[in-house]
Amino acid sequence: MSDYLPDEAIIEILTRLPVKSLIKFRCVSKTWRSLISSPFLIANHLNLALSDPQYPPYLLFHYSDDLHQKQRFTLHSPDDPFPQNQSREEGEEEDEKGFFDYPSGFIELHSPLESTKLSLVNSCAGLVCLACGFLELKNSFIFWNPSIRKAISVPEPNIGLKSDPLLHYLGFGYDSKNDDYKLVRLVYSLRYGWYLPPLVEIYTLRTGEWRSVTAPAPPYFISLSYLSNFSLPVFLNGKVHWFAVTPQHQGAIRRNVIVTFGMEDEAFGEMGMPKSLEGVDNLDFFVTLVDGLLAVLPRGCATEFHSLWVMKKYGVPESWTKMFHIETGEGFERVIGFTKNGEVLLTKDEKMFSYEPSSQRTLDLHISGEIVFFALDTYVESFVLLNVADGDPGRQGNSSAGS
Amino acid sequence: MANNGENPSPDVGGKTVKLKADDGEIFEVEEAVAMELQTVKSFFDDDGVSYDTVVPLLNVSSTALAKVIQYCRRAVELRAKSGDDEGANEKAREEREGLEAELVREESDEGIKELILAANYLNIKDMLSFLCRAVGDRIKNKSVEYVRRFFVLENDFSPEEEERTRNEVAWAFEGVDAD
Repeated sequence: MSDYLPDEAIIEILTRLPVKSLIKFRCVSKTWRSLISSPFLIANHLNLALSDPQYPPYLLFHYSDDLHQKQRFTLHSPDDPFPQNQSREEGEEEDEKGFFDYPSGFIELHSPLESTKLSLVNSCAGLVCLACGFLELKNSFIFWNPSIRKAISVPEPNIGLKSDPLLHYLGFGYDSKNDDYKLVRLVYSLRYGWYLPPLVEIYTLRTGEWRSVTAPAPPYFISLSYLSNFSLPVFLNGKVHWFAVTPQHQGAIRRNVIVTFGMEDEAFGEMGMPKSLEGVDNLDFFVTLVDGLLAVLPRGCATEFHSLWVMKKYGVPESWTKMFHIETGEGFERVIGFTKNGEVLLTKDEKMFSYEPSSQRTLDLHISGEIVFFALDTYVESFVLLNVADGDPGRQGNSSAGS
Repeated sequence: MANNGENPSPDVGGKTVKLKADDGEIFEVEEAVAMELQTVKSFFDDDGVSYDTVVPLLNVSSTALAKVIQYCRRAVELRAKSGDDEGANEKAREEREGLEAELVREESDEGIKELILAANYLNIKDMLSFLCRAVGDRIKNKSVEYVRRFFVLENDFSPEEEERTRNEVAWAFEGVDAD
């Protein structure tokens, strides 16, 4: 009986290995190095990671730790409770290993760019999209793969700032048909009022360039208010989702809706909100994913939160189901996200809290940072960017080995 | 040519198929179980091949074939148990995972490789999948040298090339098990 395993078996084994092991095993032989770097294996590895329930995605958590002047990115097991910060004293010696209560339950990632404040756009299909700064309209974006410690800069977009006050919204997603990652940017000119559609452009990893999107964009603003500016765009089923309010204009009534942009067809669409919330004025919506389902959390002008709604059947507005009410009391500025455990992560006075819906108890996690940078998303390990040439993010040198 | 002790003659009621291992040993197996082996299924899909024909499996040892049959038999039983009931499905899934873990737990590296060769040749997708995952778990924290020995591969890098490739990803070498 031969000791040699056939190629098909070797590929089956490699496809199931974690990224770190595969990177290491590129040193086994020349054949293995090219096999592991092959687009075929990279795609199969990703497909398995995305579809196999044995590999649930990690929670990716980001915040700006002003105390230690650091950008922090961590990966958490989705099954564990969100950890508390152990070092609670100001000026206490920073101990990386013991930073959270569960040192083995999270992995601290190396930020791709130490010197700049980064905000998360969103993460999907093994790649993370970050923007430099926040609401300052810096037109710098980074595609980052923490599994292989590689990041590339996205070139500056075409629709620029000039002197016109602009508002832009972003969405990052994966086009599975063409195996391409795309960043879409909607640019609104504040000067011309509420009823003009935005200019839309899109960057794709395969072309390395920005180009205009010609499909008609809805003629209203995506999520105007203070709160929902902090909603990350939600990527699900091939589409990016944002909250918007259709204007009271030319006979139409105001409606709360979800605007979608498909990464494959690069076209806009609209999805209905829960019926009872559709026509309610002055509601702000946090749009997110809860256990893989599209979810919205409305909030009124008074700072209290309402109930969480989840769309049980994607694309079917009748399937919107009210889950639970969030009773935290006053003072909580924003919701950051929902963990698989059912915990709700929120901020109050620049600190993070965890809220448990059944007991209605809040727990101070002792994690402090600028409110606007807290972000939670999911992440799947991958090899994306392995074969892409290094594009020094911010011209500070790439973030692969040695940093 | 006696039947393997773990493979008692099935009841007269069901149809059976005869499989012949590389050493000539014949295994008589229920039809449903034999059809789990896609290679066997294809063999009978050809027109005019009667179910009485002994299927020659020249590349499979009798030890491996016995284990494959045992696994497939249990897998077929478990699949019959699951249905629309989510609870039953969950239980069946857990049992199947237990079965898989049991199969690989006692196997040596050589034994697992033999099973992989068999599952690959016989084209049994689920079995190949969990066997490959098991091998992956065994080797993922091992050194490059260990992996070369395991798969019997030659290092065709020049010393400089190997050094360069390692340095590209030095961080990936942290936490490697001792051989």
